[in-house]
Amino acid sequence: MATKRRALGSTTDTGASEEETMALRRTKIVLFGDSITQQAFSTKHSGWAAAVNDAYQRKVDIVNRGYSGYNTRWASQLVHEVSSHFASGSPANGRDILTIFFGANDASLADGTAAAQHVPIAEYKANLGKLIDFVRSDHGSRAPQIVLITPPPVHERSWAKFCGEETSNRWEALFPFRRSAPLASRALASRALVSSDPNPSPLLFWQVS
Amino acid sequence: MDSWSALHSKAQGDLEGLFWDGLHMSARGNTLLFEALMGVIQSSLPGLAPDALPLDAPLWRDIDPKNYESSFRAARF
Repeated sequence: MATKRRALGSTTDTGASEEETMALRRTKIVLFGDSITQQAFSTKHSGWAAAVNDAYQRKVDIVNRGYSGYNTRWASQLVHEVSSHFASGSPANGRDILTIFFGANDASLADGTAAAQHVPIAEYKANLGKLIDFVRSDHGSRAPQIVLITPPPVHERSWAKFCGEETSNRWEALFPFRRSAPLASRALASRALVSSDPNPSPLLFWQVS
Repeated sequence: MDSWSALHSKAQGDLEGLFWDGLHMSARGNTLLFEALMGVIQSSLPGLAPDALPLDAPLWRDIDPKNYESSFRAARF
């Protein structure tokens, strides 16, 4: 399929069918997540998305849809907009990529200082599944490849200091210092989600051991 | 694709050094996360790895300076 590119000053109407003229565009990588995604273009901290952008110069458009403080429940209200980025045109090189990277806020204590952000583990897992299902059904065979990134651990002592607290009461016991951590549970839930998926997404997973 | 576990081992117990505030990535954490993500793409989505994708638009050396429009008409994206 040849690209039909409209150049400046071009007045040619090819009369081609809609399928033939479906614009090929650059492949996209859309990054959907919380503050760890929102900050991912940081130059101050050599952000991971900035490095991805560098690796894909002139090949892929990187779109940041990171929302500080968001959990999977609130993310569900934005998935339409996120998914819309894959709608126009067809990726020139086959498929786009969507990374989904939530869980750090879902893991807030149900009765702690960040209780408003808490999402129970079962709902977290269900919410992730709904996000994935929405994007796949939205685009069918043109759906992006989805890479599910599970939440990393938190260094509790550093975070408590940053928050000006004696001890962090933001999260439940935090992995990997305490093994029963909710973040670890959420990582496991993400893995369970993928292993039960007939069309599993690649998964970036913080190992619990 | 347990790439976080690779990151974990690379951190060599220095969890604190992966974050600037305990939660958000430091330069070290960001670099390891980037490498882990690219590793997942290389292994699971090799057709979308950077080296597998062509540059957008003709290379400037391939553009015919005397008839540049034809160079663009012939080019794929």
